[in-house]
Amino acid sequence: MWTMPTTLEPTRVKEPEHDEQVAADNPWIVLVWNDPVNLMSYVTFVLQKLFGYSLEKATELMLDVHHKGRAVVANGNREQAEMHVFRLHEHGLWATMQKDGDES
Amino acid sequence: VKRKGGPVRASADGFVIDLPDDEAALVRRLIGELRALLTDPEPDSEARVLIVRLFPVVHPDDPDEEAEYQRLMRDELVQSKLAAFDLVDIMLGGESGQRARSGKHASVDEGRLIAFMQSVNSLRLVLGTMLGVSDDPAIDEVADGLDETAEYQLYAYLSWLLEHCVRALSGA
Repeated sequence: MWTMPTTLEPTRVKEPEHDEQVAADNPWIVLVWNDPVNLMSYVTFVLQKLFGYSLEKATELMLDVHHKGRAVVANGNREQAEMHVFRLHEHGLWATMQKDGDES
Repeated sequence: VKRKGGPVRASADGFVIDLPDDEAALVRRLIGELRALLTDPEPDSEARVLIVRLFPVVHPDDPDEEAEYQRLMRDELVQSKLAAFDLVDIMLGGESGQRARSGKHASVDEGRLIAFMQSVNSLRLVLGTMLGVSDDPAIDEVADGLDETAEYQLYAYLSWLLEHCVRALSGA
């Protein structure tokens, strides 16, 4: 018998890598979390489409999500981060946002 | 079902969604069921669990931020998904639908194909939750035989459809 999730909250895993210089000017980061349903090819495409990443960069981020549990896919001010999260959710990806440096 | 070039493909002026009658009807029926779930004003606990992957927690460490985000954005996300479902109905629709007017396929632009792709993925997320799809090997063991169920066959079909959407949109 499977156990159904009653809520969808991420668990803490290994820290992702991201560009610290860019983050200093953009205090919010957007993370995509690994989930067992979204196809790897789909995640790669969505990251390319929403953020304009090259296939190589989007694939690298997707693999970070898959192997490390999550990846920082964007950063910006609060409004920008909220917009990114919303668009990721429109595509069904598991995205959260937080202030940079709040990772624990 | 034999198809020339797959169920979703690029065309000279956009993309083509090429589904036989039974598959188009199936996708529309599933979309209708999901629409009912999303518009239910008083969903029961089972319904809330089924759609949990469609509305992830955004601020897992800050309940106040989370409440404020959901207050501002949840309904907009619901409306976005419903708008995509409406487009799928138009694309795959019956007598007045785009598909019926152009034969057995729908010629669509990129925006409409993305709406179709998002909707197919929403269905997968709900079915995946229903099936308990997991990377966890222990759960996979318990779920032995899962692939023989009708629900899993449906999940696999939607995965196949989604993969073709991605390929077409990626120019692969």
